[in-house]
Amino acid sequence: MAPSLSLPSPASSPPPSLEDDTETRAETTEGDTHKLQSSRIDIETDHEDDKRLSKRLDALLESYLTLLDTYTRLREQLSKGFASGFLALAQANRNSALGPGRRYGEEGYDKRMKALKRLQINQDVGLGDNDVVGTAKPTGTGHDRQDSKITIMEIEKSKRTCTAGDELEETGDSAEQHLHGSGTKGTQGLKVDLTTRNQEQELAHAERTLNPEPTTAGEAEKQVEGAEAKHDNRSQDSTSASVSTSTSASTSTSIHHASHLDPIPIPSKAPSDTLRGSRKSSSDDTHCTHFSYSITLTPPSASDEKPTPVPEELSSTPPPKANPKDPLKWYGILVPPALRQCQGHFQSSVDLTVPDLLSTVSALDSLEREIWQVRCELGLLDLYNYDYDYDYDHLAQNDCITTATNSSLLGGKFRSENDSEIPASPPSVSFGSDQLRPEKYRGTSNSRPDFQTSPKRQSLFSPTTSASEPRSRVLKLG
Amino acid sequence: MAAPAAYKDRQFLAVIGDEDSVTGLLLAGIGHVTDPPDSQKNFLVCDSKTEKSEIEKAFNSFTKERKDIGIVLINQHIAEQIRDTVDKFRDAFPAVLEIPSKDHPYDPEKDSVLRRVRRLFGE
Repeated sequence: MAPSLSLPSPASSPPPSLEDDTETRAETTEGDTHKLQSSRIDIETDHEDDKRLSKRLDALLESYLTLLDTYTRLREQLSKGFASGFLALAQANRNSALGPGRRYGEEGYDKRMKALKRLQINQDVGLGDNDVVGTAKPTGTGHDRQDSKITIMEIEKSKRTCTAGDELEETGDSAEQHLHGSGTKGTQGLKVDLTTRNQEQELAHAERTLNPEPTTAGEAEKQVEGAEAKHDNRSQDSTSASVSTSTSASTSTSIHHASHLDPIPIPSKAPSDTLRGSRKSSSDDTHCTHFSYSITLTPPSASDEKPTPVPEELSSTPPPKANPKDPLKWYGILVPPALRQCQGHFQSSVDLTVPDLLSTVSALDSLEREIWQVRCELGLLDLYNYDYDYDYDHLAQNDCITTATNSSLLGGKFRSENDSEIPASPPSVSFGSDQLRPEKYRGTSNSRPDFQTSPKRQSLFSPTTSASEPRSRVLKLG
Repeated sequence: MAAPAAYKDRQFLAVIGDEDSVTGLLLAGIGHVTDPPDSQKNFLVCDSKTEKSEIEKAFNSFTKERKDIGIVLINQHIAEQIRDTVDKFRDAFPAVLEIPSKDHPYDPEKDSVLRRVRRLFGE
């Protein structure tokens, strides 16, 4: 049934009991021959997919390390800038013109000060409706996308309720049932949303596994073209954004991504591969959700509400109009040059280093999310000391937990226990896979596991999904 | 993530730090006091006598209550004092950045970003 495959990933040997468990679970309604066919196809495609994912993981890690290098450098720069600032401040205090015992410090602050610097936060690549429309093609790529954005989830929800049709009722039921267990009313909408979404995803997956042939090579190429066009768009977007924001770090990031990801969709591959490829490109969107920070000078006209991007002049003092606001004037007209130097050092740190640093951190975060997601898909999570509690937020957004469940890391046993036990969250629950669940995760919250249980419940209760999805994932690992 | 409006309005920086750090940053022009009647500062000057609760209160005010702050700068050694609170805060906005101070240079061991990196690589 499950021939042993040599997979590139180290996680290719799940416990055999897992497989049996899920298998019996899978045999619900559909005929055996049907499943055999689909699973055989799956073995091949999943093998390819794993290679692909591994490659992608490597590319992601490379980008991550490059960013990390940037981060370290910016950290050094910040330390240096601050150190120079502190030194200059100390010098100014030594030669203080304020009188004995007084320093340039808190007591001189203007109690009605107004900020000269304003912050602008930009999302590096807009993930608006256009993008959703662009990726939600009739080829099914839209269904398969693993977006992290709640907005997209909501936009796509309407579509899903149309296509999911009958199953939605069932899902709603299970979700509501589940609500009784947990007793949290506020999250109902989200949970229902998550389940329908999961279902849709699995439906799409089933579709893909059952008939990969109808996708012609022409269509496949079109998809790849689409994906590449999107890459181009993205890099264009980010460069245009960076022109206005002057955050070099984020620019280099997106360029890195583009260069890494472009070669990944290969047109000569099997149709299902391109499906997966375009799915990857849609999951690329997840790392587009990082933000770039820029700090600009407030316009001298003192219009508080309208920050406009004024090109920053580094160590120069603000223009004459803004002079009354210049913090240097808090300490008199004649201030020691050292204080001016101090101001310059801090200004350049605040104007350049701090926003760059934060943009880098944001990019690192989104890359990290994506790396976890790819690891999820590869079934590598148990190799790392994966902290569900810590990364919960990210995973809930990424829908990665669904993937983790489906990739049979947790297995059928876990699934069933989880279903019945988690809503009440008693501390004595014995989980199927304890190494994945740190102790603190169990006890901490009632509401958190909801995100996980709802997809799981759903895969239990809906015959369609349990027939196709868990089986294929198990075979992939077996 | 946050809706566009949620971060577009965040145009101020806030700082929690020792006197020199705050002075330097205010000289750079980030200081802001909102108009009366409820004048709110976007900075807190701490010294060795500052209570932990006061720091926590300021941090929570900057991160949770005020919606006009996009970046919270906090001295790393002060962040250490309220480490639990800082680590628990994981919202996208405002961004929290730990900065060095005069007497406490930046310590990579305490950097939350680098801690995440270590986790990512399975350490």
